[in-house]
Amino acid sequence: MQDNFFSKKSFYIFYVTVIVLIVGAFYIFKTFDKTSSDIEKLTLHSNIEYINNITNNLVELINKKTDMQLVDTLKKSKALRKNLEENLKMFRTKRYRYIYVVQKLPNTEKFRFLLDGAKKDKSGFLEIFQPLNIQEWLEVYKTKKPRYFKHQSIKSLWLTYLKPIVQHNKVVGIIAIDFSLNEYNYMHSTLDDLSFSVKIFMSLLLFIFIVVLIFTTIDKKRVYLLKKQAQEIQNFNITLQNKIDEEVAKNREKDKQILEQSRLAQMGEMIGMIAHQWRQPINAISAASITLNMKAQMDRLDPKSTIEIADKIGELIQHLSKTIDDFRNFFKDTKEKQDTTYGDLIQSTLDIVGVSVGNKNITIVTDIQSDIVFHTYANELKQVLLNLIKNAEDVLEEKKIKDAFIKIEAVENRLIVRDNGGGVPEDIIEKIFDPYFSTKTLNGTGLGLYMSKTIVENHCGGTISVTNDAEGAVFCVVLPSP
Amino acid sequence: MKFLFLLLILFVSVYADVYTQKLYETILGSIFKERPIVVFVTGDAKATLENSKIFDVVTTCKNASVAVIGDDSSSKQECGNIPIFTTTHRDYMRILNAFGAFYWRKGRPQIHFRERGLKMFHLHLSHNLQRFIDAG
Ligand SMILES: Nc1ncnc2c1ncn2[C@@H]1O[C@H](COP(=O)(O)OP(=O)(O)OP(=O)(O)O)[C@@H](O)[C@H]1O
Ligand SMILES: [Mg+2]
Repeated sequence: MQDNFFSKKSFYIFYVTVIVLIVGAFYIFKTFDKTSSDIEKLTLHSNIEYINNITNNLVELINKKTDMQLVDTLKKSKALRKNLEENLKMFRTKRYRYIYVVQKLPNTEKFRFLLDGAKKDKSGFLEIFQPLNIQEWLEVYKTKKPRYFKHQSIKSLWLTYLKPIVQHNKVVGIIAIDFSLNEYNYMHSTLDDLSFSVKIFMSLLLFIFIVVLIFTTIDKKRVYLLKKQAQEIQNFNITLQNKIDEEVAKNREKDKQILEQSRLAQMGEMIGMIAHQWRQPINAISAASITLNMKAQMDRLDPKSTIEIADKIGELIQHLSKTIDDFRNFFKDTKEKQDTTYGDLIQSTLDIVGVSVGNKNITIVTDIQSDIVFHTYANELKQVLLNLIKNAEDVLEEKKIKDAFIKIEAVENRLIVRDNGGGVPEDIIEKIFDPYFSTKTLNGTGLGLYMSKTIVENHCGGTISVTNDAEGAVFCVVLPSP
Repeated sequence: MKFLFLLLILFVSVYADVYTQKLYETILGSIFKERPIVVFVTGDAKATLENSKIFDVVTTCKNASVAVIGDDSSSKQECGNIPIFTTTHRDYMRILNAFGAFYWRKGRPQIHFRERGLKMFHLHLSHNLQRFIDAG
């Protein structure tokens, strides 16, 4: 099932990409702190380097202008102070908040201002100055080397750079430069923004990954469930189909058995019918043989009458033989469709049952108004008609109906068998087509109508129904018109 | 992130105010023993001292035990009878009788005491403040 929103291949590609991204992001993230401090160092370094150059120039300038007599010269010349302070001012930018020159007072830890490159917050010449981090300042005097240190407690200052002014191999003053915290803040806010973005990006990535993971798992589960359900339904359908097939097969088998049973029953009846059919010719044969016998005893056997009688006996025997053939044909199991009409069906059925029904004082009336040729199972339909006639005969005989009749009509594609036996009782009329349903205690199998229905509806594609009219039951077979 | 920096700066400035207030309390509190210290203030320090519990800020020099003078030209009051503490370098230089000063220079707190002013009003510095006495 590839119809979920990822094909397998793109799915793997996606996974690999995401994992690579995450690993990369983690790497950046991990190295970010280091990178950030590296950047900070680098910035600091470049700043220091730059300021070193500036102060070198300044020291050179101051030394030159003060003729290596810093304090004395400055004390003497206000103009020179102003000039030098202008030089300091040039370097005062946003970055460097304060730039000034101080001198340490002997025997104390106090300093005093010599030059100040400030406009506001300007110190006076020789004004006492008490710096913080005093050790750093003293150290410059000791080592004669520039140094810088970071501030912890001073508002708005980041770090201070101290450059000694060396004259005659002695430190006579310090150029102090205070770095603004803004510079530091700016740098840091940029770095922090960066790290923040990295973090956000990573979290987002992780989040997306997790969401996709969850969704794909859910989707997979869903697809799996769907598959399973489909499988189950399929299995169920298969078993259902199997069951149905089984049941149908069983039913067919049952029907076959029932048909067989009913045929056997009909065979039994056939003996009775044959007996009826044969009674008259056998009587005739018997009479003929008696005549022959008497004529022989009376010695009046002339060849002519002998031949006559023998011919008659032969004829009668022929008739008997035909009857047997008729019966055999009737019950022959022809599996093939034949062209037939209602007229044919009625005629050949009456050939069989006509005599036995007639012997019971039942009038058979036929009314054939149909010449439709059906291509159908003629022999089976004959059995249906036989069944209907037999049932009518049964009810007429049982109820000892006077002027009993069975009327067989064929109108277009309808074959109607009616009698004056009083009809089927309403309470059982629904059930008479059920197998083994019979009201006849002695000889009823209850298969006649069931078999008839099976033949008409299942084999021939027609319908069979029953109604009652004023005189009796009306059975109606309708075959599909060809 | 920017917000955090704003917060930091805010904190630092608030801290600086608190720091300034503490400084006044320590310096003046160690010199003047009575509580509250009745003080006449001009200039920036006024708000700071009004916030403090150990100071009682008054509007004239008359009943004050100390005057804290800042950069305020309207304060030409006659405060010659009480000790004066200044809060700018300019005033410290101008008022020669001032016994001490506290102001900010290059972002650093500057504390000064002057022998002459201290002696004039018989003020005594605690040991830890004596190193701020100006030489000569
Ligand atoms: N023409 C009819 N008039 C009244 N009742 C009938 C008629 N035909 C059938 N029946 C009723 O329908 C029942 C079922 O008939 P069916 O032919 O299926 O079985 P059967 O005749 O009882 O037994 P078998 O056909 O084996 O002799 C009969 O027992 C009978 O009660
Ligand atoms: Mg029957």
